[in-house]
Amino acid sequence: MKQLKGFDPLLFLEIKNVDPKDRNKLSFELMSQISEFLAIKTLQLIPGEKAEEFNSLEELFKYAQENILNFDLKVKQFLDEFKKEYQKNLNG
Amino acid sequence: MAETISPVRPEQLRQSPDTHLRAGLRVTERARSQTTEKQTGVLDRLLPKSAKLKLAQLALAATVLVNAGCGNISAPEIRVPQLPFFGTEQTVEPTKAPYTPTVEATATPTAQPTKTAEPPTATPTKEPTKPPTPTATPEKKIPTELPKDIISKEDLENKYGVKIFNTPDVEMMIREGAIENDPIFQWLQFKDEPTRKHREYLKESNTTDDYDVAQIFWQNPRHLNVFLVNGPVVHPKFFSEEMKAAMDPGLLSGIQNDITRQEMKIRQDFVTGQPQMKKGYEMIMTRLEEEKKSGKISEEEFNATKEAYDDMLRPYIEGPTDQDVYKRLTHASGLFSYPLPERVTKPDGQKAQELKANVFIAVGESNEPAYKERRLSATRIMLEPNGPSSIPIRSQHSYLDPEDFRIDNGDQVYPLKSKNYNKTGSIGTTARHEFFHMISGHPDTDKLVFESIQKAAEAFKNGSDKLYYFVFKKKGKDGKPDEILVTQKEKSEDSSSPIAA
Repeated sequence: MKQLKGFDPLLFLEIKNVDPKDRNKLSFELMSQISEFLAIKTLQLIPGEKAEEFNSLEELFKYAQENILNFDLKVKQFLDEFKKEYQKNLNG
Repeated sequence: MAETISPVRPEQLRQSPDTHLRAGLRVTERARSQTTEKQTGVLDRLLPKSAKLKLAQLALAATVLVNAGCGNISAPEIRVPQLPFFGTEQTVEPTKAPYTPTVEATATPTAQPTKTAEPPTATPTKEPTKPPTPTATPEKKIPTELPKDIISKEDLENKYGVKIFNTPDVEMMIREGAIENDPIFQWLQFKDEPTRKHREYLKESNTTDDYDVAQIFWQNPRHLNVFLVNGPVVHPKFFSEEMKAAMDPGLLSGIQNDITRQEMKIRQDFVTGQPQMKKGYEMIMTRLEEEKKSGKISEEEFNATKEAYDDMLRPYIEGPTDQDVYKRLTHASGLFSYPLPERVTKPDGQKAQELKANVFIAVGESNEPAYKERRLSATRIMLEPNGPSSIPIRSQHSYLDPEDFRIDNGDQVYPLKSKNYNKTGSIGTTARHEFFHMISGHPDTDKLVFESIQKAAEAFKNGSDKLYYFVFKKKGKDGKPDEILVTQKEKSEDSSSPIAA
C-alpha cells in the first residue's frame, strides 16, 4: 500500500489561529528550526572524528539511522524536547 | 546570535508569527550553545546556505521524522513539495521502511509505471523495453507501432503538469525516459538548480530573502505547455484558438511583436538588397553561361542552378512571399519561453501564482509549393559549393543518429548541423533544442542536444531506446496508415514520409 505521509510543524507545535498569509512562511521557518535542532542533536550522538567526515546532512542522518541504536526513538525524544522548550519559551 | 525579545501579552503570543519563531529560535540557539567547537564547525559546513538546499534540508528532516514514526499528516496526492506539507512518499509495510534519500523521493512520481515501461528509478526492477534488434550501430527503421512506455495524457497533466496541444494531423507523445533525463522534466519535478534567469529575476525584484526565493521558484506549481503549431513556422497566424486561449496574453503579444518586427526587417532587407543581388545574379549567370559553353557544366546542371538562383533573386525583384519571409525568421522551427512567475486565476476565482514554461514546435506543412523548395534556395547553394547535388537524400530512420550530425563551432547560435547539410530542420532536433533551453542558451543548447543524441544512440546500442523519448504520430492520408515519428522528420521533403524520435 502506498501513501503519502508528512510532517506539519504547525500542527505538531499546536499553533492555531495563524493568519493564512503568514502560514507558509511560519511553517517554513519553524521547519528550518526543527531540522537544525535535529541535526545538532544527532551530531552530538556521533564521535567527533566521524562527524567531520560527513559532507551533507543526508550522510549524517543516514549514518545515524544505520549505526545508532534506537535512533528513531531518539528522534522522537528530540522532537518532544524541542516542543517542550518551545512551549516554555512561548509562555515564559 | 544576540537577540532582543520584547515583552508580549499572552493573547498576542498565539497570533504573532514572530513570537513563535523567536520561541523556536531560542530552542535551537540553546542546543547550539551545548555543542563543541568542532561540532559547530561541522554544522556550519553541513547546514545549507541556498534556498533550494534549505528546502531539501526540510524535506530530509521530514523524512527522518516520518521514518521515526513522527509523521502527523497524510495527503492523498502531492506533486510538489508545497508548503506547509513536508514529507515524502513511503511504502508502508509492517517492517521499517528503508531509508530513502529525501529530495529524490519527494519528487518521485507516485503512479506505477505501465507494464513494459522503464521504471523511473535508478535500479530498474523490470525488463527494460527492448528496441527493435539492437546492432552495433543504431538500426535505421521507422516504427510501426507506438512504444509501450508512453506517459498517458492524464499522467502528463496530473503528475507532471504537462499539457500538449496537438494539431489535427500530428500528435506528440512523451515516453518515460524523459522523466529522469529531460531537463524540463527535471524542472517539473523540482530537481533543477537555480539558473541565471532566476538570479536575474531575483535581482530585478530586489528579493534576497531565502524564503522569498523558495516561495517564488520552489513553492509555486510548475507547468509546461507544448504547442504544436500547424504551420511551417512558429507564427501566431498558425496558432489555433485553443492555443491562444491557453497562452498568457503577454506571451502571445510578445511573440506577435517579435514576429512583426522581424517581418518588417526582412521585407525591408529585400528592398535595400535588390541592387546588390541583381548585380551578383548577373555576374553569376554570365559565369554559368561561360561554363556551359565550355562544357564544364551540363545543360541540366545549368538549368538546375539557374532555377535555384532565380528563386533567390525573385523575392528581390517581385517582392517576397510569406514563404520567403518565413525562411528568414529566427526561431522559425521552435520557440521556448522561460518560466517566470505568472499570476493565474483558478476556476474558483482565487488568484494564485505559478510557473509555466512554454514550448512551440512547428509541425505543419506550407500549402505553398515554394516552401517545399526550401532546400534548393540559393542561400543553401552558396553555402554548399556543389550545388543541389550536394543535398543528401534523407535517410529513412527512426532514431536520431549522431553519425548524421556535426557541430559547426563557427555558428554561434545553431551549431548543430546535419552532416551534409547546413541545417537540421527536423521535428526531433527542434523538440530537443527547445526542451534543452530550460538549462542553456545559444550556442550551448545545440551542443547539449548533440550530446543527448549521442547518449541516446549509445543506450540504443546497449539495448535500450528509452532516451528517444519524444514520439510524434502523423495521421495517415489517402488510406495510408498513421506514421509513428520518433523524433525526426525532415519537414522540407515529402510530407508523407516522416522520420522518428
